[in-house]
Amino acid sequence: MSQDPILARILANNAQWAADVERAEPGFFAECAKGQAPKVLWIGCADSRVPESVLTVSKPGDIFVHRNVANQFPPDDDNTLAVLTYAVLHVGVSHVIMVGHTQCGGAAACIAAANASPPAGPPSTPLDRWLAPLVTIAKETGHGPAELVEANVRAGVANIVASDVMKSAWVQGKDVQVHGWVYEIEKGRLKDLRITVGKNSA
Amino acid sequence: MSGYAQKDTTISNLVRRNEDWAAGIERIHPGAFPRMARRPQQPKVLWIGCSDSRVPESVITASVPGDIFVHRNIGNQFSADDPSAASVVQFAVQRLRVSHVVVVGHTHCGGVAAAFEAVKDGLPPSGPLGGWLHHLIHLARHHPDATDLTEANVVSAIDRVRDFIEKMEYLDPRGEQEFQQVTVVGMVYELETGRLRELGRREVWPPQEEADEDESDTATVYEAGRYENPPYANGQYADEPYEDGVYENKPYANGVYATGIPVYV
Repeated sequence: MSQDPILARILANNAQWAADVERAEPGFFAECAKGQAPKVLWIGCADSRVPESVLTVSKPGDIFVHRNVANQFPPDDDNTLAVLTYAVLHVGVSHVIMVGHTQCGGAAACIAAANASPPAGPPSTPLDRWLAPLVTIAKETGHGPAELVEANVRAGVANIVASDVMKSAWVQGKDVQVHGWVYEIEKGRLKDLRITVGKNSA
Repeated sequence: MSGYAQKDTTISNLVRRNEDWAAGIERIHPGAFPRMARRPQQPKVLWIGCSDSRVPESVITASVPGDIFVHRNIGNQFSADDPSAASVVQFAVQRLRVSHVVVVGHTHCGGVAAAFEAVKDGLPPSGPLGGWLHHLIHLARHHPDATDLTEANVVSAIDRVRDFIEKMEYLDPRGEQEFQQVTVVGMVYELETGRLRELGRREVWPPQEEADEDESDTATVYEAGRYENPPYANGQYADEPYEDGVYENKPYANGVYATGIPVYV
């Protein structure tokens, strides 16, 4: 019994959804429990307005997901690398999609930090340290928000392509493609930046 | 046989489904997207879950864009020393001012299985996965049953999240920021039933302030399975109370009703 309305709603919604799904697609959950075979790894922003499965109308089992602040792919980060390793080499996804989005708070914060006067000191909190590479891109390019979001996606794709995981997958002959997209909140649509890299173009 | 490879339609399918979804929303709620873009996000909940494709938070909780701030990683882990997860929690608590952080484990977790393999083999997986699973492998030595380990992992994570948020609040000794109460909750999602169950909660009270008694109207408290007009995630109620098998538009696993109208509006 919950006296917390937010938690109660989460649990109640889930209970109703599960009952509805079982009625509409009997056996769906039993099948899910047997295993997963998603074709896609989505690396996106934690932003609440960009839930990958809602905006692509995907079911449980479709998309392997990693979301962090401002959809970063730091080349030496254990968390991100563990996801990429598991998705590509264990689960066997054939597409890795780096997805940025418009109205990104992380990108906006980086532009503010890049333009701060007097200049902001060295990063001293986990969030500042996490966004430092994006602040650098903002400083070096002078991009506005929309351009920075795209530059960020391109940088992320480049880091993924250069990773040992991807190199190893391609050497093994796995046909995995890396894509860069931007979700435009004002339109509800995904935009392909057309920078896809596959095993033959790496 | 012609020898042509099957064309991979994965990407075009995703794009097409997104286009259909967006067009559907525009039809039912004209102007919804520009409106959403004009306002900053205001989610009340941060979800820390597993990257597993079978646990998409917004689908399984019938939530709409804007509801839940999300971090998903291998094995739904949290550590203050993990820059990715730590920055997510900091952003969620300080900037977005969420009131809840929910850590969600699940049955049949690959991370849990990998941890047991590592204990059996006497060595962790090579590369970043081994480093990432360090804590889970440590727990696996003391919890040899999958359910136990899944739960112990979630409990460990909510304790660490609670400690991290507390520290964040006390890192502000001059009281320059007004902190809010945060409830950290542990849950397990059961793949075989599609159901979430709660394991426990930790409350983080803001410093220097007495927490108010919770005076919320108990008449608005939802009890699973015992309400007549279940609310949709957008705050609208179904026109009719649910009766077993008596409604026409059944949602499919992806939250879209049989008529093609998304339940997420």
